[in-house]
Amino acid sequence: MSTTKQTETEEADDIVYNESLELYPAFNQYQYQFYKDFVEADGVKWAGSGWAYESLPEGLGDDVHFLAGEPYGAIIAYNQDVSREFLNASDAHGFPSELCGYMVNYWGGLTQDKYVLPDGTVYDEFPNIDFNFTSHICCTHSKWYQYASELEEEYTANNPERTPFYAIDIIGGPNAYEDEDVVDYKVGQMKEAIEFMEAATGREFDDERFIKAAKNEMRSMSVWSKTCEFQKLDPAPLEERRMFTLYAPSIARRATDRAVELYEDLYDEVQDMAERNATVSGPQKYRFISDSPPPWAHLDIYRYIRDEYGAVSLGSLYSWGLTGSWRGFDGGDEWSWEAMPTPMERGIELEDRETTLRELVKWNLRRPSWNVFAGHLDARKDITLAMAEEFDVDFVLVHLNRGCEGWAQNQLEVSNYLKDNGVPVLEYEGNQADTRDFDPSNLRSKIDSFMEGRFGE
Amino acid sequence: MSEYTSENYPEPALEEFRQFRDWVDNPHDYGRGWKERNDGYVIAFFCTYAPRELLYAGDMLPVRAYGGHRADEIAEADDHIFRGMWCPFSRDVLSQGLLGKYDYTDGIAMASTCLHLRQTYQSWEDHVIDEDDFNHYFVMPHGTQQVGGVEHLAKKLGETKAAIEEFTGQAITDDDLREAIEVYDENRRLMREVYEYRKQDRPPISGLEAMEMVKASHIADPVEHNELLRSVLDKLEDYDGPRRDPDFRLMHISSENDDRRFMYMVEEDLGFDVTVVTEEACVGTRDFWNVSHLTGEGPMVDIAKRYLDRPPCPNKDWPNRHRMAQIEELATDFDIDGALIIMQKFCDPHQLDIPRERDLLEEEMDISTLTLEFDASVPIGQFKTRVQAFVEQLRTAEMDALY
Repeated sequence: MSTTKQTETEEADDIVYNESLELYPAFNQYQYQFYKDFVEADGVKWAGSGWAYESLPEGLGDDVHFLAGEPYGAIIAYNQDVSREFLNASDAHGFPSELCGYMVNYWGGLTQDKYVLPDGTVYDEFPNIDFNFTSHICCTHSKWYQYASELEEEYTANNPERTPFYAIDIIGGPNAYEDEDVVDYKVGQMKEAIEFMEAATGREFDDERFIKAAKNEMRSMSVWSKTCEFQKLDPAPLEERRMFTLYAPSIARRATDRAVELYEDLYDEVQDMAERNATVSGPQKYRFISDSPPPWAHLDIYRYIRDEYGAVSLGSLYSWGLTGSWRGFDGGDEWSWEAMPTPMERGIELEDRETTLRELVKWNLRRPSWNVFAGHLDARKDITLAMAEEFDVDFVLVHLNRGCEGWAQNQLEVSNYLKDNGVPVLEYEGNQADTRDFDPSNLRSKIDSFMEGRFGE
Repeated sequence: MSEYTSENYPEPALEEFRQFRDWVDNPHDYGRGWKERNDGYVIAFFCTYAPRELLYAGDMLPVRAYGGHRADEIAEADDHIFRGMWCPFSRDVLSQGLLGKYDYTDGIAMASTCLHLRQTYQSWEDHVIDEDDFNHYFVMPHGTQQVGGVEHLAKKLGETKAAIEEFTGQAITDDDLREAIEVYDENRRLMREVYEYRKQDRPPISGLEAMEMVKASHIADPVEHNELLRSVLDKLEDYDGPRRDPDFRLMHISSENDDRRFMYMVEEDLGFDVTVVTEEACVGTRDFWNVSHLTGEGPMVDIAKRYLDRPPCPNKDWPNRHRMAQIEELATDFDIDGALIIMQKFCDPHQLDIPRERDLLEEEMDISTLTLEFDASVPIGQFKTRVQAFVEQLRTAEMDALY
């Protein structure tokens, strides 16, 4: 899939620049709608991490609505004024601002009894939550919803009683999906979670609905990975700043028919762009990847580095690996950034609860992000270097992210490893979700110095 | 601040506590000496969730890797760990490894716990140990209340046992395991018995001495530690030596805290008669308050249940909050006047629980708290002022209650 890299900023005749992505508004609309439905529609409403097994509650009916905490935290962070209010409220409640940036935004909103849509619309009441259901992937995630259940009871008018809460313990290192003991442990919890959800809602769990949703979840994630693979091309059809919108449903609402439809349509559109040598960006003089979630309120840094230096971010372990599913270490010791086919594509029939639960567990343990949070330093080194090499980048932009300990884990070791392997690295400190904890002018200066020192720009 | 060194701490009345202090002062001398005496392996572990009895059954001495509490040493870790958000304990521990302080050890063992210590373990793995050293990661469930946790952990402990056997070339029998479990359980029972004396109006031991006793249990052979504990308990039964006479009984609730300078300052240098009478901390009750269950299902299940049922670290305390009940029980049983809530800067798990701890103590139990953020080397002068003000506030509250 590799081609010769552009070396000049001048436009090449055979490349179509600044292509509009037709599906972009549909992705925005999808997100807007499910956040709006969460507050306005009837039915079962549950909240949890984007790492939660989203398809499991889908077994409760066709009117199930999900609020994924991390993307919702990012939406709050993006709306800076609202975020400042929520963060200050969280501080006042006694929660240290050093905690997960998404979480303290979320908690701050609960203490204010407010809910926010992606466009900044603020509702004065947080919706009723039937249950909190999450996955414990770091020190924080279960504690997040343990508190959320308490804060909802204490501060939100629509939740007069303690919100029922269940969390699934996610453990195991790299290739944990191959460890049947780990799979057994998680499947046992998921079965108990089904009973928990039935008790919390008074509804009967429907295996057929669940299995359909599980297949959707896998399809969304797999097709997203296939779409990301086009970024190996030169020019890369997409840039990461856009991908932050495109990947969002895969973490926030991936188990629906609409999510699958969107991702399949996106794949077709990007494939067409690839065939026509088209890109959403201008000339790509420099290609880079980033590391860790960005400071959401300051995405203009990506525009700055593109407009000033013709440097385009192709993606990151975060935007491709949070929910994408890749071959990874399958079949050897070296990581492969090749999309992983779904179990269905590999001939595994998902027709009963047991098989589907097991495949769903294995599928989710394949997420590259799992290798960041609970895997091994060596795995993250291999994954990142493989990305830099397979996608032929000029440098890596590392966000030393004070807003997420999971992503910050081992970052300096990985940076050192990249440098030792000849990959230039630009590091900056910031916070994914606390706009008070980021200095954009300082970063612009740092970018200028780096581009001048490293590339003579 | 030369007065804040162990040679200036009040000499313990009981010689056994002088021995604990010596081990804490010179942990590496102890480790080297133990190797010579026993021809065994010394393994560094990072978190008290590492099941030490399993290592001990394989003729290994588990020693906890601690920080050096020196600002000039902690910078060693700065090339490896993001200091802008990583807890100073995890950075300090790695620094000690990078500085070669643990060069006599034969490997490392880590239980899945917080991300911060996990990075310490992984960086240590990369930069400190040799390829042929022992190196094992215990898969310890985070959800200690979860269905299937005991069964899962017991299976994984079986894998650990196999890894130890492969390294040493010696089989570990069920009898070896039972013996190691009993040694460690005895250690826990004896320390808890010593703590009973801290409940007295005039406790015979200080908080500093208690901290040294517990920290020594992470350094020394548990058989030797047990001998001293039995001797301590014999003497305490008819004790007529010097005692503390506290006007103020404090408890500390801490993420990792082995800072003796701070304890000395609180108990000896405030200008008030203060004694720290108990703590909810991993260098303290959280580590040893429960013993193994004899389930009849085999030693691995017994060990698994002990670790999953122990007083939890906050990041393992969900969905129900068992920690708060433990804090409430300790605060009541040890009859405290106030609580020092101590967290390592950036320690997410403990930061997460602090608002609930304050709610419990201040609103539900009417016990005042002071929250302090620790770094590898604490600013003793500033903290002294703050703790003095806190104790002054406790005194004022007492006076108000009288009049």
